[in-house]
Amino acid sequence: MYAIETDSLKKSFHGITAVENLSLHVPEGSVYGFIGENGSGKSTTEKLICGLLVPQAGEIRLYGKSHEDPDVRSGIGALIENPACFPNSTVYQNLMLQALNIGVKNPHEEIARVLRLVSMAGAAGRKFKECSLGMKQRIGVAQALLGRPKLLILDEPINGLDADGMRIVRETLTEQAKQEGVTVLISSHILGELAKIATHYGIIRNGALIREMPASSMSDECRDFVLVNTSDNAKAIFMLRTKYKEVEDSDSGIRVYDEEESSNVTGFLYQHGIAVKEIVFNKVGLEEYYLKVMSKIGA
Amino acid sequence: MAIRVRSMLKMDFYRLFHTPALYIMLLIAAIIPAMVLSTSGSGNAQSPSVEMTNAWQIVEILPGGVSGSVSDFGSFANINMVFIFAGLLLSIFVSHDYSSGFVKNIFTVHSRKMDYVISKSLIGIFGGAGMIITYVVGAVVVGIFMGKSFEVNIAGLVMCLLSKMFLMAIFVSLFLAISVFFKSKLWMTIVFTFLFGMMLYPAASVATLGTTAAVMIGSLVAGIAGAVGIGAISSLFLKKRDLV
Repeated sequence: MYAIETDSLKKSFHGITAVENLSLHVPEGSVYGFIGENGSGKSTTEKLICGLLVPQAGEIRLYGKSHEDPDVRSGIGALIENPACFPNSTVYQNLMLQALNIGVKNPHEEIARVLRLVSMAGAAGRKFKECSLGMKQRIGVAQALLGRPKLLILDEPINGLDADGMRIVRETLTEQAKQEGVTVLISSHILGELAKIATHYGIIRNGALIREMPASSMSDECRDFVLVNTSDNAKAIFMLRTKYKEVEDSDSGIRVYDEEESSNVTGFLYQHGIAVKEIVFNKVGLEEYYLKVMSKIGA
Repeated sequence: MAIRVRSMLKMDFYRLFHTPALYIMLLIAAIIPAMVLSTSGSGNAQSPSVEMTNAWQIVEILPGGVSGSVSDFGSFANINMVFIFAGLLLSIFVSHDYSSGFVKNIFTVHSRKMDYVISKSLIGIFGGAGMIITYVVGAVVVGIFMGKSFEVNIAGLVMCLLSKMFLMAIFVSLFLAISVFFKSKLWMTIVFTFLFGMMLYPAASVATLGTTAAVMIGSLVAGIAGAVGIGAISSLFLKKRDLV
């Protein structure tokens, strides 16, 4: 079953289309990485799913039911754009408000739990406006986790986080998905981080979903290659092309796609008097894949 | 539905008691009686004023009498001012929901917009009722200090205050509709709250210290009808328009 399913969703603002004919499928229990450029319609789609915007056309179903069903909606935790907190209230008060809003039975314990999850237990008494951007993001994630939701909708949750903050949020989300079975719809520009947790991807451009697939399928499309840098790359490319069919010059070095053993490449170049400076076995990452897809569509 | 409204009410009450605006409004409501008394009995031909002999005149018109509130301060400095203060409190409350973005938290988990309307209306009525009580307490304190008489028909006083609290529902519902219409635009909300508050102002004067049971029941019916009718309009605003 799909946790989120949209059918031909449409939304425009003052005549400018933000989302067009969007049919999204987020499987239950998945971590769905929602990727797209700025202004591509990610946030609009998430707001539509959360019921914050009124669609002009199309349907949204959560766990097979209308997204307006109050019982289904009570199981959503969301962080859309910025953490939704009162600046003059403390972190604890903000979390208490949301805990009461969703009817959490033991709000004190629940607040302590979510603050521990995002390593923010010491900041409970601090005013929200006095928190740093990274702290605010983590508080936003904590707020979304209140009441153990079955569906998390997170819009750029790792924006403004330092490396440690990213790790904390990544580990928290992975734990939620694996141990609690929470479905996560997450959008982010930091594709490297997204690639570490996503089980599915959806790529949106100009309000339309251009690709949707499990991470395993993308992995198949993201080919392995041997990346090599030599004392004379121009000569090396020339020589490598006499043996291999798929040799590519890139910013980071020479890529040989149709070879699985880096030692074969090293040996071949050595035979032709070319010294190898650096050689690694690599894989096309999410970011590169995304850029390739975008350039294909653009073309 | 009752569970959802109850959880939202818990949240709103928690927020209300942690909002300085509530205590500021209550303080203002408590100060108005002193202002009313200090400006009474010093009028001129253009502004007929009344010498207050009874502390309850600060609250409302005595049966068969003239309101002590009709003073130099104009017809504004009286208990009915709290209707506008309740509107201001609600405007700030709703506007901050939008400006802080907290409205996203609320409506992501509460798909029924009527929950919000009910909860916020009750909060507004509660705040308004609190201001009425604070005003009365302020009037009593001022009356004691100034050595005024406290002779009054208790039943009339209670029915007067209850009628005003019932009528508060109409005011609050209207102010809520204005607030959800203008969302985070607090200044627009305040301007329209004042505008409509001033227009409706005379309606609150229907409840005097000579209020009968019929007037009180009429106020209750009008309050419920107004709250339901205008509340439906607020709900419609929320349903048909984007929330963020």
